Amino acid sequence: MSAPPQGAAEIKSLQRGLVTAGDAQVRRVVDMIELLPDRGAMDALIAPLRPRLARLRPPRKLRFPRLLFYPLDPLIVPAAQWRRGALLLPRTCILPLAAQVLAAMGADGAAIEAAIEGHTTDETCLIQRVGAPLWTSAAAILADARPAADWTEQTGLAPADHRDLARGVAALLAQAAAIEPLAQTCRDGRALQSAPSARQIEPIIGATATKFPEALPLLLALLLARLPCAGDLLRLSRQAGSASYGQALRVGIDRAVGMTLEQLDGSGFATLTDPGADLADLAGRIGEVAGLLGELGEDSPRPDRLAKIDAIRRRLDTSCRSRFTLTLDEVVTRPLRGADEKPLDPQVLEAELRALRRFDAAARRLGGSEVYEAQLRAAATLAGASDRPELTLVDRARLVELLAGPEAALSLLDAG
Amino acid sequence: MSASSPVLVQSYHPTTFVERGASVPFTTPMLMGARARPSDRNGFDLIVPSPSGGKGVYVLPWSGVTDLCRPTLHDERLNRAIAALRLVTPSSIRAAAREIAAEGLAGREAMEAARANREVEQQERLLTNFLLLLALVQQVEPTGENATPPEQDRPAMVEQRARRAIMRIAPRLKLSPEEVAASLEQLAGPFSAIGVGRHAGRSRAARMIAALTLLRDETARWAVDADPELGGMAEMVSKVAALTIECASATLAEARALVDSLPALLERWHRASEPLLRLVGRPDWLLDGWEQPCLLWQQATTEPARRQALAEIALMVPVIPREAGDWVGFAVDTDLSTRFRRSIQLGEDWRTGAAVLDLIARNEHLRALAA
Repeated sequence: MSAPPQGAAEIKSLQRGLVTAGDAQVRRVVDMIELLPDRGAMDALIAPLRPRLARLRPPRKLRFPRLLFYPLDPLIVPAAQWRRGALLLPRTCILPLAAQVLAAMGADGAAIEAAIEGHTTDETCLIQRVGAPLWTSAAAILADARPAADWTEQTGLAPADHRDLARGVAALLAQAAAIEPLAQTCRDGRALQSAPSARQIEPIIGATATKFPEALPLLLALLLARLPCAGDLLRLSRQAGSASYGQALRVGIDRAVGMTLEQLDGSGFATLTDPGADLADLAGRIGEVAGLLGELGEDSPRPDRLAKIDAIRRRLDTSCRSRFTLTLDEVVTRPLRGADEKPLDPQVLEAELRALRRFDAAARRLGGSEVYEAQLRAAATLAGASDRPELTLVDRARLVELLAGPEAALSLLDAG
Repeated sequence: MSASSPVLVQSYHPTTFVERGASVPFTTPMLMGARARPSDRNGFDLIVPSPSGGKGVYVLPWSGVTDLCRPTLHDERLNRAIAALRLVTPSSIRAAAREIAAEGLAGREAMEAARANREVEQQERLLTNFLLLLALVQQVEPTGENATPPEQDRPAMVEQRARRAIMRIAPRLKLSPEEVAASLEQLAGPFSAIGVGRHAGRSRAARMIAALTLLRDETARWAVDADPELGGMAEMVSKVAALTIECASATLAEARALVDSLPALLERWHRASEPLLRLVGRPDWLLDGWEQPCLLWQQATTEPARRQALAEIALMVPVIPREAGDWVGFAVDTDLSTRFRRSIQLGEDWRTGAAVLDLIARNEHLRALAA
């Protein structure tokens, strides 16, 4: 491996290359950086990729600061994007706050560092086991922490920001041990045990409203980002009229939803329409966003918010349709017509088609079902009648199955 | 839609292995873990695990499957092949599924694997026939007639000695030498699945037990670390795997011991071949249905993948019928797989949502890896 780049110009040049690289290349670069004992300037190299890394979620080496902030990941943004009062956390606060926690924990902190040595962010059992006591201890430490002398130098933030950020992080970490298993359940593809999941999230909200009332909106933003619970939150806010924190909850949810929509309309939109992104990976995120928009739209009492939701949905829908049409032409229509003069590999074609179908299944949740359907039917007709010599009858039937379903494929096979 | 919606049978405790049915390697995600068993009305019925993960199964004809899911092209064709079978057993289903895969209906990777496996099985059968002949020579040849053990002799000499052994044994069995030779060829089929002599460790049954042992040990380790829900599933998988290994090993030893006296085996074969086939087929019935769970586990190499695999495997763990206790001669806790079963709710993406095509592709890859 060549020496790591040091100069700003060299880093900028590599950054440009990485921004246009495919997901697989990005994963490889991150893997390599993870193995370096001293990451130094390499962290700057991957800084522009952070939104993509959040989508790709490659396994990262577990370190104390990463384990500490693991449950808060969706709220962390580059310092330049953070502003006072936003329901977000600037990345630059991670290391100083983690250092404070580590110092305050003494031998317990060192034991945690030893326990996670050589492990990665993929190891969720370990993260929950080692993380739960850490998050609880860290919440107590940060709730009353004062800024270190070099806080401003390290973070570029004012000393007054420390209190808000440390309290906010403390509020979130105090509930992390309760949120993490729910998030894990959703990641595993298992549904929450009681749907709606309000029964599980209500105590989390109640505890935060009691101990850290000022951080309630931040907690709600985290819940929106980590759990498919937007509908539950909106329902809770309506039902909590008699609860002592009812008003705070309504205000908090309103702010959290506003921030979520702002994110989706801004940097989030760029991530969702990233032309370099792998289609199948993108499909997962689009599906989540479509679900979120649907739930928010269903229960929102504010017309301005409904208009915003609708605008985001339409913008995303248009982008998805365009991406679908282009990709269908590129991976199916042109190769089947022999327009590329390249030999056709049925296995590659099937894999690409599968990713495309995953994408359209997610995109349909935003609208345009009949448009996707019509294009797929046309492509299926083309596949069924294709005279490409690389394709047997069974290959063609399998393509038709992917494009138009097993019934059409069976008819083709039986007729052949 | 069929005339009536499928009904969930809550209490599912098959008494015999035939009643439990033979596992069918469908590629439709919803049909993972499904089994086929003979039916007077429908030719065969399918037994499909409850997709909710709780107790209970659907018992339905193929025409009813469309009420549960949309079967793949591969599964439609496999259904037709099963309908044409004379006997529904694990090996007859495997053979039918291999032929469907060899046509390319589960993709090119599975097609190539199926064609290669067809060759391998043929070679294993020939090898088993040869090993049975060697065993016959060892058992029938008078002591001191030949200083060289048959397994170390030249092939031409082995052939001569085998012919002599057959000539010697044929009158005792009241059979012609040709009939004895043909019987040994016929026995090579069922015995190649369980393994004979030095080949025993490489047989399909031995490979399956090795894979199941790995699953048992690794899920037992998982049960300690995982959260209560997944830990409970891991514990259930590990315990049922352990019991299956114990039962399969006992029946395997009993079946392999038959080769220790080939004259007696040949005599039994001619007197009544069906009971003998059932005896030799017991390990296959016991291990049936574990191949997909073992492959799922082996393919899941990261922790998140293993968590997902475990949730899926827990739905597929074969129920052990009461008949197993009669086979092995010791008490078998046949409620193990249902008592430990945890009801898990699966996210919509899991079996019915956008990822369904990826799951089909994954299942087709499993078809390519299956022996």
